[in-house]
Amino acid sequence: MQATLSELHRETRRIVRPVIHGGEEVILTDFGRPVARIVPYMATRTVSPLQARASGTLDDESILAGIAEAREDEAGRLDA
Amino acid sequence: MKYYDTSALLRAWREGWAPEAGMTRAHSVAEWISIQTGRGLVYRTPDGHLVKRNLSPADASGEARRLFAHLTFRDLSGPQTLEAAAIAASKEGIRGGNFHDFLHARTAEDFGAESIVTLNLRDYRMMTDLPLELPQQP
Repeated sequence: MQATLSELHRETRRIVRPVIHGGEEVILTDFGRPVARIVPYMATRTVSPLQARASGTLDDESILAGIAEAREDEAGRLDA
Repeated sequence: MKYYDTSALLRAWREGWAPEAGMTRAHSVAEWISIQTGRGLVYRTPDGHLVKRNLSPADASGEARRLFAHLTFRDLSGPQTLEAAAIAASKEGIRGGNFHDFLHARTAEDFGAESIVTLNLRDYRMMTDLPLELPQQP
């Protein structure tokens, strides 16, 4: 996926959501030339409940952030 | 009866236990499933790396069924929710995603919960006078 800097400025949520949720990469262009790339920080892997629990520790902050992000997603869908 | 919010139920699941009694909102199931099957949760591996893991809808559904099995569902009606919105508007700092937590707090109060079990002690302190406690395996 490609987007211009102006599009990123105007429609940040639309441009960034596929990176966060779909694991996609976005190439940013300026005057038609690629100037930057947005990549997912962390890909989500679907695992079994047993594997998820065995993945490691789960901080309270991580749980609270997960809830906050899910609520943001919900608000984002309503905005879209 | 204790009231469990979504954060407490995610913690309980991670630790492999389920409440033996208590209450929650039906919306807690929605949040729990949404998180577990959507963005997922960030775990810290033993070697210090952060990894993001989620569950398939089938697994999440089965886990939720076990986790919520002994909880009673208590929900505000539409008019009660609107009343909660009016009360929230008169308080400082209850906006955006926080309103979900305020509805947890109002539900706990309206249905006579003795305490709220949550990881989010800081925000709930602004919202309710009910005692707050961290989730602990019974």
